Order: sequence, then C-alpha cells, then structure tokens
Amino acid sequence: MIELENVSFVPAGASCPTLAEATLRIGQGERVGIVGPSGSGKSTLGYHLCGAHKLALAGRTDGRLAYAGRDGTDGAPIGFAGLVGQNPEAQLFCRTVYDELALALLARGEDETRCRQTAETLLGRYGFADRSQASLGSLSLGQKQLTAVLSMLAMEPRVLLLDEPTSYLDAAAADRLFAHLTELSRENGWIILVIEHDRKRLAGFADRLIALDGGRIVHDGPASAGETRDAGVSEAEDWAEALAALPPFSPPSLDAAPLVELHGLRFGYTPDAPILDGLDLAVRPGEVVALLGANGAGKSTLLRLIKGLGKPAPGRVALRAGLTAAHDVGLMFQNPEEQIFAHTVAAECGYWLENRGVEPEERLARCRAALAGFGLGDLLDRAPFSLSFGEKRRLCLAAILVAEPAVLCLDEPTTGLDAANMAAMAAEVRRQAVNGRAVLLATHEEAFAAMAATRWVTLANGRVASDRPNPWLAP
Amino acid sequence: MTTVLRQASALSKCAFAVSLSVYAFACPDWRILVGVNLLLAGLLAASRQFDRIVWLALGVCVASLPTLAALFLLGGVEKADTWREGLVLGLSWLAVFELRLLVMLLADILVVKWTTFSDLLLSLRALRLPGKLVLFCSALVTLLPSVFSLAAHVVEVQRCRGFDPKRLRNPKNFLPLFIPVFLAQLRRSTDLALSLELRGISGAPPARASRLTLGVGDTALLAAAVAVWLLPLSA
Repeated sequence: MIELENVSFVPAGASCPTLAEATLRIGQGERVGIVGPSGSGKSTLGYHLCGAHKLALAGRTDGRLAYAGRDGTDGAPIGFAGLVGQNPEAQLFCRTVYDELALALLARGEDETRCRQTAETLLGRYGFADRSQASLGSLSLGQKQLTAVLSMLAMEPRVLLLDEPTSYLDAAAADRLFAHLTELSRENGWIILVIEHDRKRLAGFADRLIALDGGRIVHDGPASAGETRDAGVSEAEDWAEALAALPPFSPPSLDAAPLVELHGLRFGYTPDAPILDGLDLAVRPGEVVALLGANGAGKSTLLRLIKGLGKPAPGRVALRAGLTAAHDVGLMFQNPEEQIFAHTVAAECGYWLENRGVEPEERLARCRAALAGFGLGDLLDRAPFSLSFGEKRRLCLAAILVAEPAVLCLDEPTTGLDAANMAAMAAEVRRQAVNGRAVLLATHEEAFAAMAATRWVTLANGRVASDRPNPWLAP
Repeated sequence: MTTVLRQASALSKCAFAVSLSVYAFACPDWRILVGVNLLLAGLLAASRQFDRIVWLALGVCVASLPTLAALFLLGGVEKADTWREGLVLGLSWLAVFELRLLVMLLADILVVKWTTFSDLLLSLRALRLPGKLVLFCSALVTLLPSVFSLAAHVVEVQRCRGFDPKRLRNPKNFLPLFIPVFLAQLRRSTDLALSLELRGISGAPPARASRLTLGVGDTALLAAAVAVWLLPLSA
C-alpha cells in the first residue's frame, strides 16, 4: 500500500537531511509504531508515509514514493490518509465538536443523518457524547486532541498517522483510543502509523516498530516484546532506577509559610458549568505538587488562575507577602506552540528578562546558561518554530526558569519528550524545589509525577479529591 | 424564527447583508434607515448575539462622530446660502451617513455571528468552485477574527512574561506585537490549509457532494434582500 525507496528530505534552508535514504514497504492492516529520540525525524518520516509531505513540510524530497500503487512524488490522493499532528489546536477550525467531526463527511456529500450517526457513535465510544455541541473554545487541550483524532477517524481514511496522539490524553482515554485503533486496523484493514515516545504503550498496539536516529532508520522489524518492553524490565524497576539517578529533594519545611494558597476557588468559562468548585490548596517552598486528574478536570485552569490569567468568583489566590503573580509566578503553557512567539531562540528565552530591564549582555549570558542546561546552547540564533516539538518544550521551560520566579506552574511539561528528556526535566524540577521554589505541575504522566513531585494532588469534580505524598518517594 | 434564519446557507446570509448595505447607501430617507437598523438590532437581540462586539461597533460609530461632523458641517456650510442652513444640512447628511454606516456594520456582524466556518466552506463548495479558491476565500474571510484572537493570545503570553499591556497605548510598541501575530497567522493559515486539504476540501467536489438547497430560511432572507428594494428610494 505504501512504498518508500531511498527517500531523503532536506528542509528548506538546511544542508543536512532530516530523513535519509528511507526504504520501507507497509501493507494493508499494519499497525506501525515509529520511535526515536526528539528531533530524530519521526514526524518527517510520518508525513512521507501518509503522503502529506508536500502539504506539511517545506523542503526537498528525493527518492521514490508510491501510494496504493500510484506515484506519490507530489503526495497521496485526497482522502487516502488522515493525520493528527502534535498540536491538536492547529487543525480545529469549526465552532463545535460535532461541526468538526462532520466537516469532512459533509464536504464529500454525506447526508446529515449519516454525519450525526457517525459522530454519535464515535463520541459515544469515548464517553464524549454530551459534549457534541460544546464550543471548541471551552474544551481542555486533551479534549481538543480527542476531537482532532475523532475528526480524522470520521473520515475513514485508508492510512492514519497519529503523531503523539495521547500526549494530552488521560490514561483511560489513551487506552480506549489504542483499543479502537487496533479494532479498526483488524476489521477494516486500515494502516495505522503512530509516533509515540511511550514504548510501553506501543507494546500493546504496534505489530511493527520503526526506530529512527539522526534521520536514519536504525531498526525496522516486528514489535516484539524485547523491542518495546525494554527487555523485560518491569515498570517498577524502571522507575526505581530513574528515581535513584535524580538529585534528592530537601526535606520540606512544614513551618514555612506557603508561597501560594488557594481558598475556595470557583471558576468556569460559563457561569452554569464551573470547572473548579470550592478548591483549597497550599504549596510551600521546596514542594512539588503534581496535579493529576482526567481531561477537563481543571488542572490547566488552576495554573492559569495562579498566574492571574483569570479571576475566580468566588475564591482567592494568595501569594506570600511581597510576591506578585506578574513578577513571581512563571507559567509554562501546555502547548509550546502557543507560548513561543519570538523570532530567535535567544529572544524567546530572554523576553522576560528584557521586560525586567536586564542589560543585553547579562541577558544573553543568563539565556546561554539556561539554554545550555536544556541542550539548546547551540541554537541561540535558530527560529524557535523550526525546532522539534521536544526542543520547543525545553525552550519554553528555559524561558521561564531564566527569570527565576518563586512559583513555577508547569502545564504538561513532558509532552513530546522522550524518556531521557523526561528524566532531565524531572531533575530540573527537583533542583528548582531544592532552591526553595514552589512548583505545581499538571501532568497525566504517572512516571513523571513519580520522578518529579513530592505531593500528588488529584482533581475531580472541581475539587481536590485526594492529596497525598508521592508514593514512589521513600518515607 | 431566528433559528430558521440562522440555518440558511452562508450565501443567502451574504446576499441579504450585501443587499441591505447597498440599499442603505442608495436610500436618503433617515426614517427607513432607522427602521432597517432596528430590524437588524432586533434580529441580533432575538438570536442572543447582541454582545460586546455589537456595542464595540456602536462605539466605533460614536468615536467617528467628531471627525465626520467636522467634514459634513463644512460641506453643508459650503453648499447652503447661510451658516444656519449649512449647519442643518451638514447635520442631516451626518445623521444619514452614520445610519448607513450602522446598517453596514450590523448586517456584517449578523452574517459573521450567524455563519460558522464550516457553513461558509460547505456553501462555497456547493457552488462547485475550485477547491483552492474555496480554501482561499475561507482563509480570507476568517483572517480578521483570527488575527484579533491571535493578537489577544500573544498579548496574554507576553503578559505572562512581564509585558505591560498599557505599553500598547503607544503605537511604537505595536511592532513587537505585530511580528509574532504575523508569524502566528502565517502558521495558522498553513495549518488551516493542511487540515482542509486532508479532509478533501481542496479537491474537486465529488458528484454527490452537497448542492445548494433552498430552505425556509434561505427563501426568507433572499425575499428580504429583494423586498428591501421595493421601499422608496427618495425622501
């Protein structure tokens, strides 16, 4: 069905290929996992495999491509492939969830009844039927990601490429999605291509694994247990090993006054549907609170309120005396594409310092140090939008840490990061806590919460459903 | 009633708005223009769309009054025999012009509020226009709302890192906002094109693709677009 022969891709303005001499043949009904470190060319390969390279990438493709037996130099035929990129917000344009799911079907002439049936079936399967007429603006990023995936499933393409499809989904929704994809592949013969950092999740899904490194395919074979399950290392052993390698936390000072306190917080985007409803929480210096909970539980909303991007009614966000939300709270947005706006990596990183009036020389020195800590030291003059998703994520964190805020709010900081970068992120969070900062991080990565947090706070129904010490830390 | 009108195709709504706007600039009778404005405001209110955007449009009309008043009063004085007659003439011109402007704004707002992006896209596609043209028109129509929302978002992101929005009172500070908005709009347009191409919008419509059908709402809007021209065109 898909054939690539010696396919290479050089991005516009670059001299090195991001995909080199890829030769692949993928048949009907295959479920393919694409793995590799950040920036290894996974997305580039994915776009070529689904024939969207001409639409999605700027640069030169060499080699032979064929889709369903036809020449694919200029891409696959319309309707051949569906694609959900790493940024789900980028492909949603309609007013409601239903409009988004029905658009492609209506465009190809399906009647309204069929569109409703398809949408109801898909949304019902994911327990999302009651949000069919919900405005897209009122959804959490996880719910938007689910909508983007479902809008592609509604099209019933022959090939479906999902780039980190579960990065913003909670565990239950992610499991449901992979079970559904397996069913579609087996019953309808769809080719499902999934780019995913989480090899354990891929293990139960993919029947073939393609690994990339530096733009080259370094492994292409069956996704046997050895390839995906890390040679039989159990999850617990895996985490214990990672935890041991991290810098230790300082013992939390229970006498210290909290840096941030939330009292009876109530907030909703519409008055009759509060997302947070009477939430109380206090975070002391040196504490790292992992906010856990299902998609739409209010984790991101909570972080935005602490930063002052919304006003609770009623309720109060209190910072320690002398601190202000504008100066002392750093918020890393959930979606790095939404946070980045400057024309160079250095300008992006130094923006907060510039607004504080820090001299250019000092600014550059501090940016250099912060970026070097995240492996971005050589990219100061690069356009941030040309970075890989994982690099953008690290840049976003560096741009916050460089200003040394007392309270750090990190929204899904590990999205798009591989295991090594996730551990590095956890180490950085721990260092910040040791330096006396209060950190709140919204995450659905239990592994990251285990590595980086001192407390696990679970949100449900707008309140704190449980608040306990990180069970993975030794007492 | 408004539900039926809202369900009409984007093209019928556009035809209604264009017809009303053109008529307003042809009609010199202030009483008719007041009536048309009341009708449009009533439709917006009945559909629960009379929100801050409408008030903003009214604010723009009010803000333009001093400049326009100066122009029209000068014109009136030049045309009339006496100062007094000139001022009255200028004020009457001003009133009629403001009413015309308001008709155009309210009609535009009505179309934008009542039309979703997918409505517009599918209506254009039903006309059997080339896919690329449909993409271009859709991107063009959504450009302004998209730029406003991107600008608001970029300001929010910049505020999170110490930017004081009050600085935007000085136009020289627009540049640091304009560049990111421009870049973000470029990316947004690319994303829009990719998303729609994947959904088959850019290709030739298949034989069974939806065709334009005239519903009750379409009939009412098109009838109103024609009927308005039956009203007198002289004061």
